[in-house]
Amino acid sequence: MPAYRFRSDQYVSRGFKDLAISFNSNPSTDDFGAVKNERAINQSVRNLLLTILGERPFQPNIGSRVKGLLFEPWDPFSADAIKTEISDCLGRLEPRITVQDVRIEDNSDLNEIQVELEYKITGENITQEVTFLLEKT
Amino acid sequence: MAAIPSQLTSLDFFEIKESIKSYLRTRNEFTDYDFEGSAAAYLIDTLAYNTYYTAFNANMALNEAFLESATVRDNVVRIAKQLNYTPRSIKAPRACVTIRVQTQQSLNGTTFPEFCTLSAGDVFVARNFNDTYTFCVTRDLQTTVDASTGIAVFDPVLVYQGNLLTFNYTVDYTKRQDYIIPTEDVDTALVYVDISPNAQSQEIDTYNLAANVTALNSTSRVYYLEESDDLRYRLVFGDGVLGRKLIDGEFIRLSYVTTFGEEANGCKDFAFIGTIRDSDQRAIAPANIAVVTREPASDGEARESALSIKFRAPRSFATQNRAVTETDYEHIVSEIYPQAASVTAYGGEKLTPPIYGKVYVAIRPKTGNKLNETTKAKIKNDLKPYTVASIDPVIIDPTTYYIIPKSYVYYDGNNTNKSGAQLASDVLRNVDQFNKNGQNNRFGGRVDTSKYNSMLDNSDPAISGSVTQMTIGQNLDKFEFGNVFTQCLDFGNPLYNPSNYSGSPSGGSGTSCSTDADCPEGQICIDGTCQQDPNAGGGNSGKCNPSFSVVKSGTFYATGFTEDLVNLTMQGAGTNSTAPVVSSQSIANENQVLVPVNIRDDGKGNLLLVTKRDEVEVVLNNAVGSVDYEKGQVCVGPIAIGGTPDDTERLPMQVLPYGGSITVPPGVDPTLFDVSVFPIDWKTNDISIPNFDPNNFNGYNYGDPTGINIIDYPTDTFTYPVDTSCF
Repeated sequence: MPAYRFRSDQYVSRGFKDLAISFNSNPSTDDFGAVKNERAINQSVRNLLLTILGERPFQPNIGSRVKGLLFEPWDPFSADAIKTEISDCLGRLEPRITVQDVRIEDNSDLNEIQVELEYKITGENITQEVTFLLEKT
Repeated sequence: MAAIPSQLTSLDFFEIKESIKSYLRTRNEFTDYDFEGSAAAYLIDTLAYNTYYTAFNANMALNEAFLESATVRDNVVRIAKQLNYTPRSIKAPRACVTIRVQTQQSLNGTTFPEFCTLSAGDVFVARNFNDTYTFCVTRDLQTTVDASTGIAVFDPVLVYQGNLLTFNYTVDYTKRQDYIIPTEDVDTALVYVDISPNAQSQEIDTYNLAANVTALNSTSRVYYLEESDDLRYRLVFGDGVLGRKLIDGEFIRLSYVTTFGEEANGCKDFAFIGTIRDSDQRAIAPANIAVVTREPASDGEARESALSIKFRAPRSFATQNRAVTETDYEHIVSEIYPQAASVTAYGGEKLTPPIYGKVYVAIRPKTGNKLNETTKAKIKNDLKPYTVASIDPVIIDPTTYYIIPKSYVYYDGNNTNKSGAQLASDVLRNVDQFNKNGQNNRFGGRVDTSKYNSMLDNSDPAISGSVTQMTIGQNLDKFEFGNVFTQCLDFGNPLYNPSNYSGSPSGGSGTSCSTDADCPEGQICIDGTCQQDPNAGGGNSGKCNPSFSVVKSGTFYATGFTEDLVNLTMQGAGTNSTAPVVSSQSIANENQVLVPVNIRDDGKGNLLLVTKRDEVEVVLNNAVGSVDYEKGQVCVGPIAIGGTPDDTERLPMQVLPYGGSITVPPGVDPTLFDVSVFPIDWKTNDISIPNFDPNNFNGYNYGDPTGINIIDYPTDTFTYPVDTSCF
C-alpha cells in the first residue's frame, strides 16, 4: 500500500507514468519497464540531479552542478553549496515537488556522500523521503 | 488514423522535439514527457537530436550540391569545375626595376666578361607600410656587358612578390598520381612546368597552360590546371589526344611562387639579396650592383572568393569560348593576340549605313600604331574557329579621338601650401592615372566633362571646383606630299555651329562698308553701305558673319601657295576677307617658297585656307573643304599638302564639340592628349569662367592667351601616348 494515492489510473492525464530508466523489460509483458506516480517523480529527481549542465542537446540549462561540486575540496561550504544546488535545481526543473529538506552525510572515506532529500508532492499532503548516494566517478 | 510526428525535416531542434511530444500526447502509454527530468524526456531529446542532425545533413548535402546554395569553398570549386571554370588564384604583386652592374675585368686583365646572369629565385627585399617582403625573379636573366665600360644593365627586370619554390614528381604508371602544387598561396600565372625524360636528363620541355582544347593535338606540350581541396591547385596532363601523355619515368619539375598577395602592394626601394654572376662565374660584389625602382609593387590580389566563383562560373560558362557578343570578340582577340594594347569590337550593323554579317575588331598594338596586313590576316584566321558561321570578322586599325581638355581649376590659396604650379602638376598626375585606367573600353563609351571635373576636384582638398572645355583632335593621314587628296574625318559628335551665335548687326541695313565681307550675311556692299542682297532668297535674317571657328588644323605647307601668291592676294583683295580666291597658276615663277598655312572653318560650313602676314590673317582659298556641324564631319580637300613642319604625312585637325560630353562611337579609342590645367586662386582672383561664351573672345589670360572660348591651331601632330610601363 503506497503512502498516498494518486487519482484513479483511469484519469491518465492526472497520473504520472514514465519509462524505467533501467530500460529493463517487464518480465510478464516483455515490454518496456514503466514507473508510475511517486516512483516516476523519484526517478525524475535523480535524473535531474545526476545530469550535468550542457549534457542535454540544445538545452544547456537542464541539469545540476552537483556532480561538479563533488570534486571540490570537501568542507562545510561545499556541503552547503550542494544542498543549495539540489534545492535550486529541483525548484527550477521539477514543478511536481516542493523540496522541504536536504541533508548530506559525508562518507569521504568511501568517496561518496549520502543525500537525504525530503520533498512534498504538489497537491498531495504527503512528504516523500528519498535517500541516494552521490559518488565521485 | 494515428497521428505521427510531422516535423521530422525541420531544422529546429525544439520544433522536432515538440512534434514528438505532440505525438505522444495522442497516446496513453506514457505521460511524463513534459517533465524535463523524466526518462521519456531524455529519450525524446535523443530522438530529436538524431532527427535534427539527419535533417541538417540532408539539407546541407543537397545545398552543397548546387552552385547557387553551396557555401563550402571546396564544394563551390568542385561544382565550378564541372563548368570548366578555374577560380583565380592569389596574384603576386609585381614590380619593375633596373639593375646596373659594374663588372671586374676578366682573369686575363684586359677585357670585361661577356655577359652577366641574374639567377632565378629570391632577389630583393622591400618594405611597404605593412611589413618587409621578399621579391623573386622566376627565370634566369642574362644580359651582355658593355665591352668598353664593363657595365651590364638588366632592364626591365620584372620581380614578383613571394618565394620561388620547386617541387618534383616522377611519373609512375603503377600509381594513380595527382600532381598537386603542395602550397596554397600559389600564383597560378607564375607556375612553370619543365619535364625531362628522367631526373638526370638535361633535355627539358616546357609545358604551357592549355587555355582551349580546340587547337590541341596529341603532341601539344600543355597542362590543365584545376583547383582541388584545401586551396591547392592540381596539374592535369594530356591523355594523348588532347595534349601529350606523359611517359612512365618522366621527371616533372614545378617552379612556382608563393605570395602574400595584395598586402605586399606598394613596396618600393628594393634591396638586392640575390646573386649575379659574370661569364667567368664570379659573383658580383653587392657594392657593384645598383638598383633603380621603375615601378613599385602593384597588381597583387587576393584569391577569388567563393562568392565571386558562384557569380562568375556560370557566366564564364555561358560564353562557351565562342565569339558571339562584342565583348566575346574583345576577350578572345586579346587572348590570341596578347600584344594588343586595346581591343574594341562592334557589329557592322552599328555603322551608317549598316553592314550586316561583319564584326569589326579594332586593335591597337602595344608597339607601333598599326598592325600590318599579315598580322591582321593571322588574327582573322585565328579568330575563325571561335566565330559563328556566316559572321565575318574584319580586323581594322582603331580610329583615335585625341581629347584635349583645357581646365581652369579654382582653389583656395589659404587652404594649401602648394603653389599654383605644384597644384597643376598634382592634377596632371591624376589626369595621367585617369587616362591610363581601362585601356580597353576606356571611359565606358563616353567622356563626360562632369566626371572629368570631379576627378580634377578630388586631386587636392584645396580645389573647390573646375571648368573644363574639351576639344577633339584627329590626324589627316591619308595623303602624300604634293598629291591632291580629299579626306573626311568623322568626329562623331555635333559641333558648335558658329552661325547660331553670330547675332544680328546693330546697325542693320545702311551700315557703311568697303567690301561685301563687312556686311552681315544676306547683305552686300552697295555704294559704301550694306544693302539687302537682291539675289538672296526671301526671309533673310540679316545675321552677322560668324565670328569664331570650331575647326582648326595644324600648320602645314600647301602646294602652290607661295610667298608671291600671298603678296598678290594682299594687293588684290585686301585682308581678312573670305571672298577672293587666287589661283597660284597665274603667277610667274619668282618666289616659290611655300608659306605656312592653316585650315579653319568660316562658321558657315566651309573650310578656309589661311595664313598670317604682318599679324593679319590672309585667306588664300575659301573652298578647301566643308564641315557638317550637326554630324561632326569635316571633309578636307581637294588640296595638296606640300609638307608639314615635322615631315610626317599627318596633319592635326581639332574641333570644338557641342555640349559637355563626348560620345565615343564604336571602334574608336579615345585618349586624353595635351592636357592643360590653369589653377586660379579664387581667394585672390575671384573670376568666373563660363563653359562657353560666344560673345567674348578676349580670353581669360591665365597662362593661356587664347582663352576658353575658341580653340587654338594645334601645334603638334596627335600621337598616341607611348606606354612606358614595364608590364
